[in-house]
Amino acid sequence: MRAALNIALASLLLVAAAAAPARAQVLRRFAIVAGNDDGGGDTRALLYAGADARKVHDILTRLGGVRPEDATLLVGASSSQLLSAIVSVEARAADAARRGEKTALFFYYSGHAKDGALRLGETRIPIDSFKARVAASQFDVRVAILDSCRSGALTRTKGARKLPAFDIQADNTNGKMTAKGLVILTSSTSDEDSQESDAIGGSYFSHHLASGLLGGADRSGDGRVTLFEAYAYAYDRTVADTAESAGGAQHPTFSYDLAGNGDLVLTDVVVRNEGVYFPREAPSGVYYLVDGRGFVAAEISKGDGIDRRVALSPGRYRVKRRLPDRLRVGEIDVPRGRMIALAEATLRDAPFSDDPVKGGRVDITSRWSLAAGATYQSVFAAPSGASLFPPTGMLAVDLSLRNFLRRDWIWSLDLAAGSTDGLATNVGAPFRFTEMSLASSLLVEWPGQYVTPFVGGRLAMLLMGRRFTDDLYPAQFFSTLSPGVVGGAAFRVMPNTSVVARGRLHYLLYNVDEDRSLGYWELAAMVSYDL
Amino acid sequence: MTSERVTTLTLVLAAALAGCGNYSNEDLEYMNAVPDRDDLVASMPPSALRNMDEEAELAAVTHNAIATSNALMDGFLGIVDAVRVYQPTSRTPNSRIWGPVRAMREIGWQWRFIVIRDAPTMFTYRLEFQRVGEAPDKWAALLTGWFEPSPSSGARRGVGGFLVKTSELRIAGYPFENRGDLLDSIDVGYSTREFPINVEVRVDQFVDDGTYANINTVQYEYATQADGRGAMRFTLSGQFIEGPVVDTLLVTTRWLASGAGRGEATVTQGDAGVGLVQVQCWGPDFRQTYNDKPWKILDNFGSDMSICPDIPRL
Repeated sequence: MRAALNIALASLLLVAAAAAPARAQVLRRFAIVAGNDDGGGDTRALLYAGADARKVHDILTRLGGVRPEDATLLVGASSSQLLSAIVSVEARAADAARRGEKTALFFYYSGHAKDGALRLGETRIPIDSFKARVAASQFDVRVAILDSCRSGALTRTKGARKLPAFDIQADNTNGKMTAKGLVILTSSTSDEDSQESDAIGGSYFSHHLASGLLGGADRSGDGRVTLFEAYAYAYDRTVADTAESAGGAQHPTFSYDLAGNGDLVLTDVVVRNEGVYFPREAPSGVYYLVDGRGFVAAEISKGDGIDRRVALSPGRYRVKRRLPDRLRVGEIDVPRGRMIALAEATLRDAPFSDDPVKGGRVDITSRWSLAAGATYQSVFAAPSGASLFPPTGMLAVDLSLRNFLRRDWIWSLDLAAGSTDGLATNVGAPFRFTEMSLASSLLVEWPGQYVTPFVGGRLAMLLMGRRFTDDLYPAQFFSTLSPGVVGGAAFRVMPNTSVVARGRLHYLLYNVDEDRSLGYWELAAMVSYDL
Repeated sequence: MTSERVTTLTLVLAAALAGCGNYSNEDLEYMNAVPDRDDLVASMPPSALRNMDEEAELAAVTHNAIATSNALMDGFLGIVDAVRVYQPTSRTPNSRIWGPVRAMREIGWQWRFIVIRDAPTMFTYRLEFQRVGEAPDKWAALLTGWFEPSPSSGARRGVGGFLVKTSELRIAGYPFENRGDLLDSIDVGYSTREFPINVEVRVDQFVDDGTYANINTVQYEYATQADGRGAMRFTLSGQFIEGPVVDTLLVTTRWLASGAGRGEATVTQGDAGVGLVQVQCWGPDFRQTYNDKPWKILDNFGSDMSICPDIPRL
């Protein structure tokens, strides 16, 4: 649950003047999408605000008619960075307006809000001044969506609706101006918390809003999702999901101040024609489409006798529909540029213990993994360095904890040991070299469906020793701390198993004979298993 | 952040990263500068005879001479061997120092051992003592030495020597044990650069008359080949020939890896004529096979000297 405040979706949207369709103009859409898990010292870090922002940014640029160059994504940004982005977008919109284009701004914010202010890390923006700032901007249409606790404070002054009672005639002239003004959506009322869910890997509101924008909200069945359709869908699903939660029911709000009438098309599911098609004859119910990482990519509520198109990126998805006594599960591949129909016959019965959505929960909460493999390391300053520390193969074991300190952060402990033969070339003395390292790493990873790259830092305690074949010389040892950097990628080969390729660069201060800075590199191949 | 904090942080970081241990290639070179006992002590195959009287006379005196000289060398080489047991106390670019370390038995005294690289292939070293609490620069040397390695022959091969001199310590009041004060000096020179390995030892010992003025000198030379052949030359004093004069013999022995050998004892002083030479040979069991002893013909054995092993001079 988002104890502090989560949500915020501000989008500015366009709409149109009610006047004659013949006078409709092309609408230039801009977007500012911001997410910040950090709300400052008196709040607990959120888990999914940044991820929600990325998801909305992806939908707007892929399906929402926002050119990539007109979309600004801010993750973990400060208030000054956010305000600067608004100024920058306004300047570009003014240029467009001078060229005779109509403009719309979609503003989305997911993060903390507390004590009447949006919290972006340690910085704040008072909600009232933010609203005034957006209201004063010169876009023809502004749609602001806030996914944060008590974000309803932004809509309580005027036109706020707790229920999606709209029955506005949609003007499906996609991309044409039919209305203008200011629309504000919030994830909760002014006295409610907005909640996150590990099971869906995001906030309830943003999750359902995203699912609606992907096609789930297309009540009219025309392949286009309007603002009101999206809101109505997000409202229903959010209230339903949170009604029984510990945090209590969460009610999104809607505020509009539009001149003219008509609705704004937010996404066009048809034009891209890429995703999953639920035919009319498909059973009704809530369908979950789970991506390769275990995240719920879309949650679609389908009624009897209607069809639904859900725009999804190419890839393999697991499909789940929940029945009172069992699940219906299956898999479907979405190829590039094709809308694949889901056939009920391809689904099979499964017990609740096989719920694929649980994979998502595992992926996005703290979890341990254990890896074992082989490494090879060598100092750079050969041959003098190798005369001290010969190239060595080692066996290594890594124990990693993911998403504990922060999402997509890995804290890892590793132990490696190895031995090899060497030669002290200055005296021609052969020796047996042994090394053991105990290290801790802090890594950041970017989970992908099949490949997860990672980088980070590492601090190793190195224990090295050697025994000479000629017992004339005493055994020698050396221990030191060695800082370094780590990079690599994990290649998922099975649901819980990955093959990891990893490289390290380390600094080694050798200070016995003299102070020498010896670097060494290390390559490793490991097999990692999620515990 | 203030400059003091930066400095403090830098020092803490440097301390954290600084390694510890004795892991050093250069230390090995300094260790090699000090002779190893096995490099210098004489070695002759041991006799398996239960009755030592059955051993050839010159083989027996050679065994005795080797045992005595090796015991003498062990006393000092055992001390310097410490450099191969402990890591240096301090290192400089051209030296290694072990100590000061409190002496185990000589209460109130401490020692240190210093090895200096004077040139890329020249090391000198010294073992010094002082009373605990004395001025840091007031040390009395007991042993000084040098070594010139010959890398082409191996890092431990080369030419060197050391001198044990007790005079400084005696003056300083060092409490010698077991009448060690009667030893004046041991001068050792050696070459291990190539075979044969040669070692020359001169021992000057005071006569125990309380004056520390009269000295007896003992010398020996030892050589050995890679195939186990060895040779030794030393002087022997005693009543070997009937008469009032103390006899002095110069003994030269050579032996094979099997133990078989031959020896010559030349009278350099004594009751018999100076210049008389005893020739004795023995087999691998150290029993004599030939003996020609001009001053005691009853001890002669055999008549065919060709039975003696042919052992070139080393």
